[in-house]
Amino acid sequence: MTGSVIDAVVPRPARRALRRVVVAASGAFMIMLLCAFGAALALLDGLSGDDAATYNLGCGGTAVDPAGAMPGIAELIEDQVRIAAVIVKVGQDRSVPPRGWVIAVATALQESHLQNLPNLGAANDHDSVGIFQQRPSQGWGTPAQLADPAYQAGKFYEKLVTIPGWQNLPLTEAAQRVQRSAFPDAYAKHEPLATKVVDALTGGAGRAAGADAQLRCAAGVDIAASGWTAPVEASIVSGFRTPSRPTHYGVDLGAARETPIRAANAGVVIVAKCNAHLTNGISYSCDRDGGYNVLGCGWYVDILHAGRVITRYCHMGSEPLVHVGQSVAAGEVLGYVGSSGHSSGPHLHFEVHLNGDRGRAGAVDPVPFMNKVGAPIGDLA
Amino acid sequence: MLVVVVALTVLVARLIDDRRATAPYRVPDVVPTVHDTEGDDSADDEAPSAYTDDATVLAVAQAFADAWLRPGVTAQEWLDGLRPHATESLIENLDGVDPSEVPANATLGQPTIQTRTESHAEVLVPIAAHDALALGLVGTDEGWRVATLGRETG
Repeated sequence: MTGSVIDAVVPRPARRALRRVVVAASGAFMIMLLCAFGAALALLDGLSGDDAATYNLGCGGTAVDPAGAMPGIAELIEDQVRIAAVIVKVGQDRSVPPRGWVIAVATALQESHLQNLPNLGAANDHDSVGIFQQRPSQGWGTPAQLADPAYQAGKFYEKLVTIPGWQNLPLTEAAQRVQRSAFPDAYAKHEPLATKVVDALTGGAGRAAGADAQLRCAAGVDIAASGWTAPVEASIVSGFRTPSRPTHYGVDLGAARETPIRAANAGVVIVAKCNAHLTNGISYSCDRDGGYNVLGCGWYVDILHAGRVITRYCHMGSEPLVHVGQSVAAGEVLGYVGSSGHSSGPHLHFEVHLNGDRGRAGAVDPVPFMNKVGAPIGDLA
Repeated sequence: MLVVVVALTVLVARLIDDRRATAPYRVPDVVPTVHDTEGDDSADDEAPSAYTDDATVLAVAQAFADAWLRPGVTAQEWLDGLRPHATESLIENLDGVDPSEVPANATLGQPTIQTRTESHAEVLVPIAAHDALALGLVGTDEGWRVATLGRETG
């Protein structure tokens, strides 16, 4: 093992910090040398072979120039992307961690569709103006100041960073504490598009650790700026709809019994129950290990996320810690790995569904999905 | 010269790199492998097309919307009107909202259920053309309550 020399003498947290410093320093150095030594990048990539997949996608090192060329985003016109660029640039200049950029862009998508709205007179909602619909009468600034998107974004971040633990709150909750809207959950649905915009502008900051102003790819128990995190850190022992298991609509993660299972993204628990029965239909306890002759996914949880994505977590060893209707944050522990239901050994069966469809038709391969949102699963060795 | 610096930087970082092999969630070798022949181990309790208490869900959604669509009342009256139909956490999220920002006085048509499970429902309540309250309701011990309030436009 490459780290064995250091293992013996430096405590792990210090080693991690040291490693970060060295990697950051070497990274900065590489950028300077890249023009002349393109090959150096490949060497640096080789440093963290296990993270190579995410590094290849990038984790947001690009400094945004709102006056420069804008990336194309199918859902938006260039003027909207440029407003988003101003929001991200102000966040970068203020050293706000990248989760803040996603929250700010999502909030502006809801409030103004990323347009710098003037006071519309009689049709206006009170004295709200600008990309965040801030109100001069509520202390946000003078009408002249609030004509400037960069000023508006600055005021948004100023308030956001005063909220304790804002980095790990569900997006809609963080946005609502700033905005105080009559539609408190309206922001959540913009999280996927806001992440896409931030990724396009910065070269993948949605995949960076969300709470860290020093941009680095999210790993382990980090929550990415996208709001996603891996439910467990373990290898995939059985894939999605493999030739030998065409009806396997999830992935099996070989985590040890009692490993905490974490919510992959903020959302509302819509199912938390025992699903286990024998082939003759007689119900079977989920508080004991199942087996081949037991059907169902045991103690399990379904969570409904922004953008009508649903995640499913099966075979918990004991009753889930969460209940239906509960709002959970990304990373919140839902229960523990076990082997209840149709299971031959402790593992987490994890599913991702799109379009709010809990059935098989809605299931997609979790591996590329999680990779794209910056929370890769499996194959860590 | 530069080549040497690059090589040294990479070497030092390699030495300090502790890799994932030492990560806290490393899979121990003793974990039994899940057999590939296991087949479908997902939930097999898929939902019925309708539930017997759909009408109750819709009634709670309507009552919540009626209480919410009162831009003329004080903030306290507004919250008190919503309280019987909402979860505590939603009431907390609505604390501090100025009810005069509510954009309508009445619903415009019937609420409809979008998706449902045994204890959760998403309901749309139209309040204007191309504008609806998007309510997330949950079945609690005290009955159905609105837990989330978003907006669907367009």
